Amino acid sequence: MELRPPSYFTLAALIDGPLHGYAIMRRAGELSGGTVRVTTGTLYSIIERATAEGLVTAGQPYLVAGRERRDYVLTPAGRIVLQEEATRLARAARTVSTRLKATGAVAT
Amino acid sequence: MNRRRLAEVVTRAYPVDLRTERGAELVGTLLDAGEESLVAFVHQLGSVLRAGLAARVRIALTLAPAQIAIYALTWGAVMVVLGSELDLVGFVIHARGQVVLPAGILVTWVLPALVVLAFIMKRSRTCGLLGIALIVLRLALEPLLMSTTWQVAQLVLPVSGFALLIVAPDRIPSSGRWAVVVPTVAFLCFDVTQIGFYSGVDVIVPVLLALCLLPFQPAFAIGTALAWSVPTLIGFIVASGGGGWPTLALIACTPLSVMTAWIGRHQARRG
Repeated sequence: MELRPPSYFTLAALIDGPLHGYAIMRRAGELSGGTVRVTTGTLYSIIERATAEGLVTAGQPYLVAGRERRDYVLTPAGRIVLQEEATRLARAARTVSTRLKATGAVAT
Repeated sequence: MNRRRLAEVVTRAYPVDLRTERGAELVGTLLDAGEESLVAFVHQLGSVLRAGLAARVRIALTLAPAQIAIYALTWGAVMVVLGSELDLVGFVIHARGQVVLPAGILVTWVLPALVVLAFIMKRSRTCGLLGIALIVLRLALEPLLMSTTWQVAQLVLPVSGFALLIVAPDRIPSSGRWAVVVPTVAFLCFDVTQIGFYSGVDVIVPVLLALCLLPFQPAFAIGTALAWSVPTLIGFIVASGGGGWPTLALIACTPLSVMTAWIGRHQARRG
C-alpha cells in the first residue's frame, strides 16, 4: 500500500504513542521538517480512512478547556504499513542515489 | 458570529453520520489549529469545508446504481407533478386568472400539493399512494389525457416513480427532499419573467441547476433530467413527432447526467 506524504507523516506521528487531532497535525509537521502541513480537513479524511482500514484506533472523547478531543493509536497493522512504506521510500532513495553517484552527477 | 459558531456551521459540510460521530472533536481541533491567527483559522475552515464536501461526494457517488436509479425515478415522478402544477400557475398568471380548470380544485391543486408535501415530509408510501390516486383521478376526469400515445408516454415516469414509493419506501433516502422544488420553481421564475423565453435556455434551466448538484445528489440530477426530457423524447419517438421536436440540449441532458454520475462514481470508488 503506497501512502501519500500527508498520510505517511500522520501515521508516523503516532509511532511514539497516542495523540489527539491537533497534536498529530503538529507532530506530522515536525517529522516532515515543515514540508507537509496537515490541515484539519485533511487530517480527518486520513483518520477516517485509516480507522476504516484498521491502521488506527480511536479512543474515547474527552474535554479540555471546553474542546472535545480524542486520542488515536497506531495499530500493529498500521505499524506494518508504515514500516513497508518507509522501506519502499528508503529503497527508492537508495536506488536513485546509487545511480547518481555511479554517473558522477552529484558532487559529494 | 464567534469562531466556535463559525466552525460548527462549516462542519455541517460533512455528512450527518460523520458529523454525529466526530463533529464536536472536529470543531475542537479546528479551533486549536486556527488559534494562532485569523488567516490560519480561515485556512483551517477552508480545509474542513473542502473535506466535508468531498466526503459527501464520495458517499453520494458510491451508492449502488440500482439505488440511484430508484431514487431518480421517484424524484422524477414528484417533479412531473410539481412541474405540471406550477406550469398551470404560470398559465393562470399569464392568462390573468381568465382560465377554467376542467378537473376541479381537488385534482388540480390540492392533490398535487399533498403529493409534493408528503414527499418532502418523508412520507414515502403516502406520497406514492396520493400520486397514483392523482393520476387515476386525472385520467377519470379528463379521458382525453390518454388519447394519444404521446400522452400515455408522459405517464410512464410518474407511474413508475410513485409505484416505487409505495413498494419500496425504505429504499428511498429521506434527506434533502426539499430540493425537489428548486428546479421547478427556477423554471417557473424564468417562465413568468419571460427571461427564459428570450434567452432560449428556459427548458433546460432546471437540468442545468440539477447538474450543479450532481456530485452531491446524483439521483436528483438524473431525476430532474428524466422529468424534463424523457416524456418529450418518448413522445417524439412514439408519436412520430407528435410531441414536438425536442431540442438537442433536452435530448442530451439525461445521457449527460447519467454519464457524469457514472464517471464520478467510478472515480469515487477508485479514490
